[in-house]
Amino acid sequence: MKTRPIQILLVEDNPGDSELAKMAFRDSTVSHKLAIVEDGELALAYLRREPPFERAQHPDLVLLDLNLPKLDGKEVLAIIKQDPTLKRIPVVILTTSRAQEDVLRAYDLHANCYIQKPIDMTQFTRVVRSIEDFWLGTVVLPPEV
Amino acid sequence: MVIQRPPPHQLTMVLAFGSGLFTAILGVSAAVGWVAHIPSLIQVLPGNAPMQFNTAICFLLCGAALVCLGLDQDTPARITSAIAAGTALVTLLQYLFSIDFGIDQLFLVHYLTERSSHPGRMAPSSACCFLLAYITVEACIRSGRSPRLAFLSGTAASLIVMIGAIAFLGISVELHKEYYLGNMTQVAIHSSIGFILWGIGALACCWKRTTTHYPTVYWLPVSVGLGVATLNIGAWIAQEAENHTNLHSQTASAVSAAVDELRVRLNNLLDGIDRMALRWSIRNGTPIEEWRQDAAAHVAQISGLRNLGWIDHTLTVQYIEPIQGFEGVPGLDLNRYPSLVETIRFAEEHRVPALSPITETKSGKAILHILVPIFQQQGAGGFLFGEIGLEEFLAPTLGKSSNSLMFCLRSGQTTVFQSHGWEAAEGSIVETASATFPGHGAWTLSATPRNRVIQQGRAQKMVGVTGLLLALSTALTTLFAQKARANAQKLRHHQEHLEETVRRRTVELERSNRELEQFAYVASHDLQEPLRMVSSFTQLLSQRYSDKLDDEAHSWIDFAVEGAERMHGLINDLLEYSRVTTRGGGFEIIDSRVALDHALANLQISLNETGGIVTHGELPHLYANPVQLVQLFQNLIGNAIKFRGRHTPRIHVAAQPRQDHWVFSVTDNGIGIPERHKEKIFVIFQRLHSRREYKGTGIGLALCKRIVERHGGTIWLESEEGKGSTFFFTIPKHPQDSPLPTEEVTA
Repeated sequence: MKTRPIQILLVEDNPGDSELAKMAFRDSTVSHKLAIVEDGELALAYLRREPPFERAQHPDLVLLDLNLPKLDGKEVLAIIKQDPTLKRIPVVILTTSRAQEDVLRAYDLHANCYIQKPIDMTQFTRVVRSIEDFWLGTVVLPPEV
Repeated sequence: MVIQRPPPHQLTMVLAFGSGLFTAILGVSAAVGWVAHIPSLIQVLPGNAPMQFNTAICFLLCGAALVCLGLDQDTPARITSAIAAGTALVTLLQYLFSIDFGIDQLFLVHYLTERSSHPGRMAPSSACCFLLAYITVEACIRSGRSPRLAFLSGTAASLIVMIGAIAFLGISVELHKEYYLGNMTQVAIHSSIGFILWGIGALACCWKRTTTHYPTVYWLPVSVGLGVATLNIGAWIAQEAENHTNLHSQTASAVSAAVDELRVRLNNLLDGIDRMALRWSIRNGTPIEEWRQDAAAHVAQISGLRNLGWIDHTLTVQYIEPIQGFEGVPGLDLNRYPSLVETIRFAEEHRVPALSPITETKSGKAILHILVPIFQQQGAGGFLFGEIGLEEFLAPTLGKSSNSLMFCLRSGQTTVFQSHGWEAAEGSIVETASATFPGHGAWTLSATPRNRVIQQGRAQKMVGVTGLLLALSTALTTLFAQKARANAQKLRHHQEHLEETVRRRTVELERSNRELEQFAYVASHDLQEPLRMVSSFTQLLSQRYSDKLDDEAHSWIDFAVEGAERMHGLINDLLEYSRVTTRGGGFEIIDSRVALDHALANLQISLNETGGIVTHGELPHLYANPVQLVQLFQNLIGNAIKFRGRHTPRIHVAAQPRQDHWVFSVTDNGIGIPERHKEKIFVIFQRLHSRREYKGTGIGLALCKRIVERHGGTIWLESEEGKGSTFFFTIPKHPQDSPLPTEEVTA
């Protein structure tokens, strides 16, 4: 088993969604730590441990919204997937959009999966739970080197 | 819309400036010629009509006016040409009312007056040209005010060229004199050249101004017509000159023939009398009776011979035959008549028959005496003399061609014979021939055609008529060509305008589509986030505070959540609806049966649930978007299942070929749709039933309509309430001219 909690970075500008995600993850059985940033630039700073995130932990999973202020989710995704030090981190797109072009674009940019935020609270909780089950419990995440 | 073609301004400038300068110099040189007595500057060649001093000044003024017009200096152009026109007008009035205002020799006394009716008076056609020149300048300057003035300017300038050209042609074939109006002053040859050049320069100015203001050169047809007419008149003049040459030679040969005939007849007469004299000499006197017989025969035979007589060497008349009418003559001493004596001496000396001078009888008849000397062995035998009545003598020769010709016979300075109306013919074609007889027999015969108007030949008449028709038809052709060109231009402008409108509308449409797309995208993202918040947190509230809320509060929360969910559905549908055209994808040839199968596969669950049966006829290959065709079938069949009523759904899909499209039909046995709702059902979010009866947002048929329309077809419905409905839609057989493009919009 892992010796340290799994680090999750949630990039989400909507505090309501962050709150819901936090609430859903709170009941998790897996040991984890959830960090939340509100825009694309902060997300990159966090990943690169630039100020004010010098002491940030390397995340094991990124939950990325597409609709973000400053740098939008697709740009962040593109940068992550082109950066040799970051590209192994699984990126889960969690967004309101179900537009075909958004889905295609995300996978073109090597998103690891694409999930539409459900409107129903119960379903939302179920989605977070399944992310948790799958990414935190089922898959083998790349080891930190 | 008037498109102004760039007129050839450079050429215009050169033409206006060049011809203006030339005419001004022409005027100056003639004026200098008058002052400095250089005839070659005034009349070019001796005998030609001179350019009058006033004409020279007017040329200077009009030349300057043209230069000013070319340089757009309107006021000086106006003033100079107006002065010239004033002079011309006064001159014309002088001609018209036969008065003299004294302007002809205002500046100097004209010492060259050839072919001038009044010394120094401008030729009437020159005066007309200067008047027209002013009209041209004035109308040209004002041509912007109305097309009529533009028309007037070009027409007046063309007329000047025409008058100049006709005068030039007439002068150069020397016909000018024949046809000049009465005996008015003639145009000088260099004046005619000046008018031609001035007119051309003025036409260039008119062209420039007319094209600046109007799309059409209105006067061009008239100008072309006048040009052709001038050429025609030129041909006519040439023909006329030829006629004149012919007439001259005909008259010349007629006059020489007449002279020859006269000579022969007179010689015969002289010979006859000479033979009488010879017989007298041989017989040394002829017995009187025999002589009388002989003489009477002569008198009877020869027309015009009034009598024959014998005078002795003392010049006393002895015999006369016939005696009647001459009773007093025998015994008359001819020494009383010095001219006769002189002729007698001449004949005696030269030993030839001689003619006396012409005298008149008491009754005023011209007579002539022939005197033949008789030489005898012993001394002179006297003389035979004959008296000839000239009128009778000449009549057989000069009278016979009097229908076509008039004659005038002169002996020395005396006019012997003159046809009636000879004086009036003075100055016309006159040909002369002469014959000389001994004594006072130096005769000159002149002839002139009786009719001054020459009978034109058929060819010449044809030239005239066809030429005029040609001029008219070229003018009309030019007019029609102009009209056609103007129409074509108008059409082109219209077309361009239309294309521009289409282009602008297309751009607007594209922009509006893009905005709609943008809006839809924003809606899908940004409208849904708050919606999710409402729904999520209301649910969270009901979960976390379940024990603190009563049933009513829970039901209210359910309403709120349901509302949010419905709005979520509506937004998604709207997005989908907006993307039918913008993100619809391309067209290809597909089998509509495959599309139907695909749709049926998607509907498998509901078909299984309801036990619905879908049948179909023969289905064609089509040019369509595969995804959208599947959706179309799916929505229509889905609706048929959804609104199925009490029976098991039976659905039939068929396609009928028409001339250029297919008509598809989807027939069901469902609840049907009332007639009044036939249109309404295709409107987005329009529903006929409550949500409790049938679920859905009301997007399905609106999407179908949008898909069919994108394919260039139409959709409609036939239905009977309670028995079923048939939805029809058409799809064109061939690709549309411009299938609505699928824009790839990057959000």
